[in-house]
Amino acid sequence: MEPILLRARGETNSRSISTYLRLGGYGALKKAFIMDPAAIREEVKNSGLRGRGGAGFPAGVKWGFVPQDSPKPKYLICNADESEPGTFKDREIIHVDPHMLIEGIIIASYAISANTAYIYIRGEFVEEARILEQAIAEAYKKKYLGKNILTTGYDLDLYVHRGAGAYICGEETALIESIEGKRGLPRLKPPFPAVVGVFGCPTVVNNVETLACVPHIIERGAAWFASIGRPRNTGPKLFCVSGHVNRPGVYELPLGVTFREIIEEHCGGMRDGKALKAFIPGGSSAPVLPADKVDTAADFDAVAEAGSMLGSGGLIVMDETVDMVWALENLLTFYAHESCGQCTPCREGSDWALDVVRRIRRGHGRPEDIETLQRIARYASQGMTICPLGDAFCGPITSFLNHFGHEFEAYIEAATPAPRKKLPILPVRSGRGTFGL
Amino acid sequence: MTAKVPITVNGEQFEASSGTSILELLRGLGIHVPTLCHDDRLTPYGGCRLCLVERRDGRGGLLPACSTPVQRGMVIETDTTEVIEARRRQLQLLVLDHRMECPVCEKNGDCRLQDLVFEYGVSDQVLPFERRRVPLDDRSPVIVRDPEKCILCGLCVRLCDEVQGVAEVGIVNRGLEARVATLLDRPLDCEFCGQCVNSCPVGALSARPYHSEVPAWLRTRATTTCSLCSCGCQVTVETHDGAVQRVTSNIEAAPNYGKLCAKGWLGWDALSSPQRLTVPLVRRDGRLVDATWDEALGEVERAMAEARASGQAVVAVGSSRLACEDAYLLQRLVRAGLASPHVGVGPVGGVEALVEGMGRGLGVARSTATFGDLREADLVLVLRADPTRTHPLVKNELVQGARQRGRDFILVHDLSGGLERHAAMFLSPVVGTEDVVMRAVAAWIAEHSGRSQGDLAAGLSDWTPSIRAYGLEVASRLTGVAPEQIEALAERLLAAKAPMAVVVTGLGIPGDETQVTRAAIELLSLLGGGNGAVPKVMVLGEKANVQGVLNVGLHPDLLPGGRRAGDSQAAAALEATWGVSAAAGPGWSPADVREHTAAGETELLYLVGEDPVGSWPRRLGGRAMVRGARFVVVQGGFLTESARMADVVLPVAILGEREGTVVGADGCPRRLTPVLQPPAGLPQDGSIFAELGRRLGVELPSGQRLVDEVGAALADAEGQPAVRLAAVPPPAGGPPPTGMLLDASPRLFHSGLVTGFSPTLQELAPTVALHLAPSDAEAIGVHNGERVCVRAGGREILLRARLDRRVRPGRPVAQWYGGEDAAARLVESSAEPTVVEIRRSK
Repeated sequence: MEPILLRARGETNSRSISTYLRLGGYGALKKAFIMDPAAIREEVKNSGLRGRGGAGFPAGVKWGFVPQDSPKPKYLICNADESEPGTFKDREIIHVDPHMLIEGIIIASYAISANTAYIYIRGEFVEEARILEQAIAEAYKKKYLGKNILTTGYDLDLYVHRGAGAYICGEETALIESIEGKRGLPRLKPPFPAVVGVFGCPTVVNNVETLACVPHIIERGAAWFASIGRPRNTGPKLFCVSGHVNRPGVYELPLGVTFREIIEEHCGGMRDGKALKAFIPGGSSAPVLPADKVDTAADFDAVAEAGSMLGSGGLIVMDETVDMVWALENLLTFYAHESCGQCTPCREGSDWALDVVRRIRRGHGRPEDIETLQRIARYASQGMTICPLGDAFCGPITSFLNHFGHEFEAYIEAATPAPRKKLPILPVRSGRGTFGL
Repeated sequence: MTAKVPITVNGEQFEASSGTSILELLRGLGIHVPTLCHDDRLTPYGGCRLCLVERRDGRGGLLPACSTPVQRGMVIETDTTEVIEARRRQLQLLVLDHRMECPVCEKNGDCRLQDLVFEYGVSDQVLPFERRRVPLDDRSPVIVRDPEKCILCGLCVRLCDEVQGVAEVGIVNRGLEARVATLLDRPLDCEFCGQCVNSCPVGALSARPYHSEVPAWLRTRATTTCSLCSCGCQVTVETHDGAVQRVTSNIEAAPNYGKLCAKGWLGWDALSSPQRLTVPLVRRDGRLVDATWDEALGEVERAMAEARASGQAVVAVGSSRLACEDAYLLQRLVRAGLASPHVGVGPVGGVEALVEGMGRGLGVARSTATFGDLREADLVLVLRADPTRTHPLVKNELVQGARQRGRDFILVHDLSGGLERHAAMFLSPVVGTEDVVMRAVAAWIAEHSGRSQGDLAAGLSDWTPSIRAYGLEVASRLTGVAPEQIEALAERLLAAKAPMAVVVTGLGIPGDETQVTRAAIELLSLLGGGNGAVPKVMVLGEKANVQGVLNVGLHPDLLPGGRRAGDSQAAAALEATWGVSAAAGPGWSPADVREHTAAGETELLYLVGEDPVGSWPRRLGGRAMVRGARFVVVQGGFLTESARMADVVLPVAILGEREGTVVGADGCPRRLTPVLQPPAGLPQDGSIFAELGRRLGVELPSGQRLVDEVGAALADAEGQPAVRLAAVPPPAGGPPPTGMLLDASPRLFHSGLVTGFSPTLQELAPTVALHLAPSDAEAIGVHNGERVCVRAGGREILLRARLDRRVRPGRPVAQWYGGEDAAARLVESSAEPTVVEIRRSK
């Protein structure tokens, strides 16, 4: 496939606006401005573009939820928080071609009649934030941003808002809270951001990769975009491959390519000729799949059918040497650290699950531990939490136990009882009254 | 009108208003749904996940009831095995991280987590790991925080923010390390309203004064009306063995719906103050000595009989904290029994605003707005002071309106209080010129909007030309408020659908409360466009029963039922009811009392719950008055400065020991229910009046007859309000005062006659402190904690400097009350600002 999103990879000065213009950049924007916003929304809907952040929700449909008759200002937010372990595609787009993202943001803002847009970028992306600031400055200079863009009468201001390094701020409502200057906690839904978003106004939150697709859809048409990939799973997709392969990295491939093809053809096969044991298809919160699912097509529907999710496209490959108990402990450490602490099942459950897995790996597991893990996962997932972070840590727990339960059992069978600890002595409340000593 | 949608709950069909939450619906149906993080006063949080219910119409699954709105055709099950099991699991998770020391916990027997754990049978303590250790935080005054018991329901954080408007605490860190903390983990520096402690479902928050050794199930609970300001909050007092164990408030009881303030929550230890009087005192050889009740009452009886026989003046000054029944008996004893018309109340805030402001402006001496109106109004004008200090419940309503209901309020005053950040506008006129601002706004509206009061009675032709004097320029010069701001305020008011005004009153708030009240009436009637609607004005009287004592005639110009003294018809009606002749003419005003008494014309001065020496502004001459009267009787709970100069001191029941009716600032009568027996069998104020009446052969009503007569007086005083306009005085005022202006309006206390004796309130708001803006302190050259000498009008008081960044520069704050060093000693008159000199004391 010809490179689309990564077409500028390898170009010298690929980030500068002159290179972008030379490659035909901002042409889609000019085309968009002679279209009606509703027509743009329709075009994107027809292209079948599904959100690339993880949920795979059709982008055009999401834009359509914004009440166009609302008297309030509307906002577009580009979610560049990219904090899902195993995911590093948005970073690649920003590094290679920031103006493609900016053009996508301008078209999307125009399509939903927003005059203010934000790029919410994670705090750790220091370099990337600088790249974006520079690209935005260039775009302002060339009148692609600001007042009266290209003399069309349309105004748009674009700001980079840096986060402070919380995973939860990749969740769109927590992200909105964070932009508002509050603690990043997910909001209760409904209302959804399209109706009540940032500063109480209608807001669309789209992933970097989603927005980067938009100029191409406008320029080359919905039909062209839909011709890539498979029905309902259209367009190019960035796969970020990490783990035990020979050439990890970001690969642009049509949706529907098989995982075997990604691993064997594009990534040069397994490292050191070891056998594949398992892979996580869509970032660390996607349930793990065993090696025998490697012929699954990498698209939203096929992966879901196989029992996992395409998520962000972060493919984590594990070879036969990996201790799956250790792998789960590793994942849970992350989630226990990143749970925001707002609702009970996730705050307490993630940490408890981590404790149990850690105990198993240290050789002090107990027979009932597997059931305990399953129970924690049952009551912290499936809508029992405010946001999907509950599902994000429960998916791995259930899938690791389903596919690699025997490894956990082996640990438990060989376990010795945990050494007894001294019980903590409760502090005495005060010197007064009955309980004084 | 909200649409109704059909919904099925546990197999039964119901109609629900769309927009309500499932939880509201279920609770309305009487179905028990456990919650730990939900509070009707707050926006839903969805944190505890105990309110899970099962949805069974296609889109199956468990839903949090608190944050899911009802939808057409929903099928809800509330007690399936799945639901019960899910709730058990959530509870188990909460218990994991909660230090279970129930037997020695403060909350034992009154803990929602404990109840739920018992109800759902969560007995398996599953986690053998050591839990995180977080030290107990007992560095703050009053409030102790134990993070190891905290279940992170967020109630304290959200109440502090959404209801209290303070946001002193927030949640910091993530996940299991999340905890409630103050900014930079400093000790609490807040209003100590206690909302957080009372809302805590577990024992994570407690109050040091209420660390009780009596388990919850042994305490007696009773609800009464708080009598520490005129809001009329309902408080639940838990007692055991004659001692207060804890004070809370019922979330379902109007008007405060569970809200409390530091006064109402903590002021109760005044009851057990060592300075409390328990036996009568009489003066023997120049000294006050203990006496029996018979001796003391005998002395009073003799003095009263002599005064009656000699025809000399008897003056009774009652506190506006007296219950209606007591106030009624007092004025009847004096008017009918002692044939003296000189009854009155102390010069506390609200009396003038009600009698002269509302009485002359609307024809009835009462507020015309209720707390319900305060919640409904889309724009509230708050005049003269920040109610945070004096009437915290009103502050809560304003904050909730702005934070939760999209209402606005506008502050017009010169005293800082912290409410500014929630206000739509904050005008800060020169101290005491709020009436000029209001009238300038009225003049602008009359001129520019085409609105008028319509065909209001005669007064309009006098008012219209006189208001023109309040041009923008004149007003701006006098008040220091920019003309654009006055215009902006006018436009804002014109856009409001249901505006109302709140007039804050209190000792130490400079300015003329009468004129401000009248200006508010004029302005609101103009906005109403003469459509006959009564302007909604709420006068926040200072003490609990300002409204009530006026309604029953404890005022030189008012007879029971709100009739004017001196009106011959009213006098005849009164004598017909009482069946005896009575002195129904106008009595002496406080200024008259001072003059006549200083001239030696007062035979007997009877002070009930008042301390003219210690708590009246200087110009009213409290000391000269007490000194000038031939015989002085002081009745009250404590040995005040006036009591020290008295001939007889009669101790009485106070606070929660009292019984009777009080009328709040909203005009609503409420019961004072005794929740404690007074020590040493101390009598109620009214019992003393009744006994004196018996001894003097004056017939006073008692029992049902008293209830009926008081009830009739209260009902008559309701009256029919109607706007009465008159020519307004020309705008007046000299150049704005310069220098340090003493802000002597109270914090936590009012006059301090009861609350000043509460050790806890003294800890929170010491009467020995002068709160200074740091920049002022620097200019004076004084450091935190050093002694300062505050001087005004040749008098000085010694206080300790407290640097406080919330105090506005140039406006040092000191407590009105405080014995020898009370700010009241420096204040010449409530009408004028007090300019002080401050220097470091050697």
